[in-house]
Amino acid sequence: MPAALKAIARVGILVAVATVLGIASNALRSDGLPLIRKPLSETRPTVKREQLMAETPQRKPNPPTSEKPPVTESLPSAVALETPTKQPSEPVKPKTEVAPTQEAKKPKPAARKIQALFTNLNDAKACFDNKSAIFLDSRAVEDFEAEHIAGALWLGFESVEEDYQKVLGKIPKDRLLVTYCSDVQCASAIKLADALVALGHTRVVIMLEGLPGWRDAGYPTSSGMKAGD
Amino acid sequence: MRNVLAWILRNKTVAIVCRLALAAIFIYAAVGKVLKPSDFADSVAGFRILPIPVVNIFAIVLPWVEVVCGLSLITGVFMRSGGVLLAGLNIVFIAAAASAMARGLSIECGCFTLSHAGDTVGWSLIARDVGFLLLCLPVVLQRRSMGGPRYPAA
Repeated sequence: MPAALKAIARVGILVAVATVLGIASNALRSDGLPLIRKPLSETRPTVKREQLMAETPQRKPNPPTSEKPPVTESLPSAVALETPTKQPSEPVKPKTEVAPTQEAKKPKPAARKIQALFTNLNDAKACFDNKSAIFLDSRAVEDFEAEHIAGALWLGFESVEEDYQKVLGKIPKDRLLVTYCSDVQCASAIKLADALVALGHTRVVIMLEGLPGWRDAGYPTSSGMKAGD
Repeated sequence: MRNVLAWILRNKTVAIVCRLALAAIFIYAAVGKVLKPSDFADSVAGFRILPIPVVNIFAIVLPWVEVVCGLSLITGVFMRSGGVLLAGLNIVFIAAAASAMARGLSIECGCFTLSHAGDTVGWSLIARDVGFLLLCLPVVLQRRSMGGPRYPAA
């Protein structure tokens, strides 16, 4: 066999061994990946606009405690932001009378996966227009500084534990949060959203179109760093 | 100058140092990817080069290619083929990074997902990969007699 063919055959053997090892190790893992990847947009549901908007509480800077507290889980549980089994301690609000009783009738989905849901560009813009949402940019901080959705805050998913208090520490857990990153194949906004849900936030959605989609639609952006970054 | 280059590329000690360095680098790089395949798959998808359905299988197999090549360099079994494969991988990495830069993507390369050191795609990443590619040359170009256990020194 000519030397070149022999070399190619040996390379092929190495690749074949690696392929077998890779697939076998993936099959043995509890968190193994599916061999065929789905587009991110198909990995979880999208919140419908009327569900997102209808239950968006009109926020005031400091709602008086006498006022009827906003519904704590305003994204309907049907499309669920799956409620964390243990609600985080809320400084102001008692657990509402309404929500718990409704919840009490249902059996608690004990070990359901907690995850944030998607929203689309137009619905996110509607939330932007009525100032009902806080936009969170999960891209690299340099990219945020160069351009971001107007009024957005920076919170990287890798540093969410360290920066959370600084950025969102005083934000009520039921405030609508919209995370975004680069585009429809960028996973960091999803990871950030899931991290925020795990931290107790009940209304977190992901705008998968990201900054490019927002910019291309002609929606407002700004640059520089914001407070809380 | 040509003589110096030829001496470097054919020198046995240089080849051994390059072999072991490459093996250590790529096995270390593979560990993070093997431990966190999901993160690595997200990084691969971030390059927007591969069709989405094949991203996962690529992310599953690539770290093991690095491991197998690293082991081949350490043991001397199919060593030059391992060196050729690593050189090919580095060329692919350089092309992918250059493509991402040309398209203005600001992404993490996922090269060393354990450390995230120098992980952002940019000129420094390309320079690093070119360095790794240069390390492959003495391994690939060395004489068979320097190959390791299967090819005892003359």
